[in-house]
Amino acid sequence: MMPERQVKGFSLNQLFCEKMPVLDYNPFGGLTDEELKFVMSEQHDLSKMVEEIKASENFVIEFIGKKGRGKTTHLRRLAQLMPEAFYFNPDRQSTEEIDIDYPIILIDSFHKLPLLKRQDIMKKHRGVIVHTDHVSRFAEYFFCGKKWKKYLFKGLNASVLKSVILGRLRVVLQDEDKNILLDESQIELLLNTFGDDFRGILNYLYRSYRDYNTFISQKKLVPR
Amino acid sequence: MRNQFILISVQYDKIPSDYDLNEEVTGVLRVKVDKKVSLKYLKINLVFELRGQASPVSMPSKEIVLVNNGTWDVGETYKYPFEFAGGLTPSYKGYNLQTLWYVHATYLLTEESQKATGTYKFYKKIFSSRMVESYKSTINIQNVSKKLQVETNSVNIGGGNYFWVISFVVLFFCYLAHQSGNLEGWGYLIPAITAIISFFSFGLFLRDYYYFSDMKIRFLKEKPEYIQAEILLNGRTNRLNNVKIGYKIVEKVLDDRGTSTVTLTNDNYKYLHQGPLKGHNGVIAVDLPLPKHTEFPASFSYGKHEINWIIFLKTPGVFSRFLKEIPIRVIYK
Repeated sequence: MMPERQVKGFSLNQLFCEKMPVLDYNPFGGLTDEELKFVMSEQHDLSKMVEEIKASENFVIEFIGKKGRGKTTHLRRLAQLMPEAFYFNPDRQSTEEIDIDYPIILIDSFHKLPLLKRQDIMKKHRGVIVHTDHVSRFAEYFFCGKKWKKYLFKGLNASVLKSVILGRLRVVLQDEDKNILLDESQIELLLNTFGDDFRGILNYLYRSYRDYNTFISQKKLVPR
Repeated sequence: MRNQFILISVQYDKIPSDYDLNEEVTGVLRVKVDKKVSLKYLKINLVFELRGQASPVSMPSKEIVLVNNGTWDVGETYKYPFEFAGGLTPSYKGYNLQTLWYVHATYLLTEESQKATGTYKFYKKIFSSRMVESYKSTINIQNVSKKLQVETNSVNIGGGNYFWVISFVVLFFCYLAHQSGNLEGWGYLIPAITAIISFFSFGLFLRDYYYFSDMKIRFLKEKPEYIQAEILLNGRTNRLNNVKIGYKIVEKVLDDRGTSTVTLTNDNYKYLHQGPLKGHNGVIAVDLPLPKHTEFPASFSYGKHEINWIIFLKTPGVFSRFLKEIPIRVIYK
């Protein structure tokens, strides 16, 4: 397991300009589908993508990027925008459940499917497959006679990061008008340390918030 | 939170921390609109949610329909009292996850131009001043009467035997050498003394093993404040030095966000007793006080997320330590 990265000079209290709001739960953890639409910042125009998907046949769209760059988040949002699509997550479902009768199939973590299964789906399915992966699988599409398009996920700037942090706080507070100030220098510190690793930043904020709440101080009592 | 032109708010009848587990959750839901709308339904659920670094998991438990085909006018404040039955588990704030309750309101407007769904969450931390646990589902005499297991970082029995045999062999050959006259003077004494010390050291270890390897823990009765237990030592001793007894909460969460899946685990220890324990006729009676409800979540298992409970008991030992871990299931009733 990778050691947890530390951000020298970062303080959660300072991020919120010394006014850390009182919250019901840690705002930097996982989000429900319902919360996602209030929080996410689109790297690619999803409504345009929906039009493109609906107008296409025998086509593959791949979301490519390193882990934590927002591929799955965009795929989940796409599933909300296209309720007629079949969404598949290999960590929660068996590959036998993939229903190729759906005209649109959304597959998270395409690389987790065995090669033969990937080939089988692509050969049989005549609609549009949208999937997330770390590397492009253009050779596989070529052998299956598919056309394809790639969307890259990389890059993160201060304004996007700020809007996501504020969005998450407003979801917990259930108040979209609440004025919350964020310290720019702390945002820069996060970006300088983690680059565009969005999930890395959120996990770090999650741990910072957890440690800020001293509820679980007894963890330090671990014997042995 | 405002969705479009509709404002919904919830006011609970009591402040969150004052709710008892068996108490009804009551309050009033208020609606205000900026323009006249007709709606198909307005309903509320009482939802149990598990949140953490992983994706949240929600389990709606009950649903109340407050409006079925109705209208909301501008300038009016609509009030809908609600009541959910009690019998809830307390909210819990852990390391990798937390569990909490909330009232969740949803509506569906009927008019085509205004067709929309809205959703609102009103978090509620439900705590209890008293709690009751049940251990019946997993604890019984059979699974607590097993032999104690040797902790992985302690000296194991096989190694001890080997050590003892070596000591004995060295001592024996020292004797033979001395008898045959090959070792003259005090030359044989160094290996002989080493062997004797090793022999007695192992004797202490053997004594520990003899006293405590058959130890059992038996649960007699559970009460709201504590569990009565008995430690059975088979009459060999009536005292345990530096025994440690406590609870351990094991949180296990599958973080399957994105293309990388990680299982997050955390063990949270809570000591109930540290120090000597005395008994009679090889039996030590001990009361294990229960932690505060805010630190005591119900056992939970959903998909690959779990909260498990373990009672652990560590015995003393000169060269070895013994550890007994007993899984328990905590149910609020």
